[in-house]
Amino acid sequence: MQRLGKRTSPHPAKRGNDDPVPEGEGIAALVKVREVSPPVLPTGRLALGRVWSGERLFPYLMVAPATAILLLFTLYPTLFNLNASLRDISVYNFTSGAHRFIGLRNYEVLWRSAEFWAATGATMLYVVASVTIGFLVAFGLALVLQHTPGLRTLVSPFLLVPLMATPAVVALAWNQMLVSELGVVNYLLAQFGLPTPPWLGATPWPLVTVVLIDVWQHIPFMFFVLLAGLTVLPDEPFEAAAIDGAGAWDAFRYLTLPLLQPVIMVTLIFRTMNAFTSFDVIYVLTGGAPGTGTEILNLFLYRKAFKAFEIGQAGAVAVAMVILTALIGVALIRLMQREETV
Amino acid sequence: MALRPVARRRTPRQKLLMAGTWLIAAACVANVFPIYWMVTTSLKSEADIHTYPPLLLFPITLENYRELFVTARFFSPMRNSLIVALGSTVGSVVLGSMAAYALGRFKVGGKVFPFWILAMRMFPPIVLALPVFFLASGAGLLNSQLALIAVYLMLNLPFVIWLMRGFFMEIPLSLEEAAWIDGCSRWQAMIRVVLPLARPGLAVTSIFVFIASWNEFLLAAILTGPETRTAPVAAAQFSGEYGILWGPMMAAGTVIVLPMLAVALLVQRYIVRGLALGAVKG
Repeated sequence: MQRLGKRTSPHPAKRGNDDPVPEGEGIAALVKVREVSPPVLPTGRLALGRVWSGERLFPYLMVAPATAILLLFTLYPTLFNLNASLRDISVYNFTSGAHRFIGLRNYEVLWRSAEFWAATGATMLYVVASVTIGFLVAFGLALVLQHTPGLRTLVSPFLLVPLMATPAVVALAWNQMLVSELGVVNYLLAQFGLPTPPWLGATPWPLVTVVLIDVWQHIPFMFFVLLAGLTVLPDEPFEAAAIDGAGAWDAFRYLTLPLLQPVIMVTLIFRTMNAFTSFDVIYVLTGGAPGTGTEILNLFLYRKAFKAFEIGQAGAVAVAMVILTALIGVALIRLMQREETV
Repeated sequence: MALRPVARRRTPRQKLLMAGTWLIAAACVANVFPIYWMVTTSLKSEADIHTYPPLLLFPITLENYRELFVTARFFSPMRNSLIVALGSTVGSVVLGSMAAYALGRFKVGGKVFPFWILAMRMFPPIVLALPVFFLASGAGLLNSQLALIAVYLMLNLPFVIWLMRGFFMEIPLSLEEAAWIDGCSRWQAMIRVVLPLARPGLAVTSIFVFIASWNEFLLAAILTGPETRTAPVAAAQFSGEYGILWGPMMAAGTVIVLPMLAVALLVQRYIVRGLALGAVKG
């Protein structure tokens, strides 16, 4: 830290000599730039670009390994899925190696398959229900705990538990608690005189169960992010509103909500994308058995690929899912750029 | 408890707080109950597990743990999980931090590149399952830990880059410039000045990534064989032809989850901060 004092030193010390700095554009000029703007991207670029232009490759070398891995694991699967989706690959010719090119036939079959639309419908229902319920509870909790730091410290460790617990293991534990005859959940519900639904039994219930478990597991994430957003809201508007006689609801409606909007946005988007990738809990609890209404697209793709070995069909589902995700991803980027939360 | 000073609103707010307190107490119980139930079930004898009404008090037995580690040899999946989680954590944190540093300090790839990285995080892992399965089997890596480490590395990278970029951008550039002026090369400045300052960030990121890899199930189920199975996959397999072996299964769940919870509680503050940074657990 004591080196800081030297930074206004007029001569850029030991640098590569192949890169002379023009008069008046050395460190001194940079210091001037830094004084008017905080050291964020533009300054960094200016400083490093001018002073170290002999090492222009440096940032690219730093980014290269990660980029290569990300490219390998996104381009290859995408091409693989695209290629598979255009061919006739099923359990019958899987090992023979002769996979005829059949154009868009796989997509056509998919488009006409009731199972695919059932899975799409289940996905939408699952994601919307899970995100909405979870958000409302998490937001409520965050609002209650916003002004009570003591209570907050007390509660946080409890909320950390679902957040960090292995989803597959969580599903096993819930499975134990929900087994039809012996389950502790229904025992407790019965003690309070409440109805005891067949959680893993008749058709709508398994979907309700997996939604509730997903809600349970992800409330903490939304809670912590929303709470962080709430605690950094400025006090002044609320004080002014209180002086003007605004009620709690008005303050919430006209101050909290608009001020918190970027955070709410980010929370909802991340959570939504995360809900779209759900697999473990449903797989462990119901196996996504088609009859139970819990076969969301992820489980549908898994069944096509690893149980039915309809690789062509699986490829088509995968391509459809990537397109869906990309659309939502683009929407996300637009929103975030507009909110300038990055 | 310093509320805003509005005297006439106190009563309804107090009512609200009362209701809220009950809600919160219920929420606390609901949050830990499944894990509590799993742990207690793992300590019950088989007969007690199948008793109705469910027992809250029961003689404690370690029989299930004996069966888990002696009969079912659960040490092996635990070791596999540890190897895979450690390998992918180290790999993704090193490579991801390098990229994050460059992204935080330079305009590599303009505005699009950071967002591409962010969009990567939305890539549904199931889409990778089939291609990666064939890739791994083609490379003869199907039942090795290496394939899993590589896949987790990829899945973790966007998260590491996104989070570390934020941490690096918090470190003032002037500190580095000072080091350069003193004759440090860029590498030296990075290693001697930036990395020590980024240590808390590196710790948070590593913990998140480690827990995410430890918890992963889908790709582990697809890419591992009997020898390389990770702990969550092995735990789910206690449901055999003769019904579910609840005791050992709950014991397995306990030894998988409790160490991670212990770590999470120890570094609670950092985890909450990591989440708040717009970072996100899977």
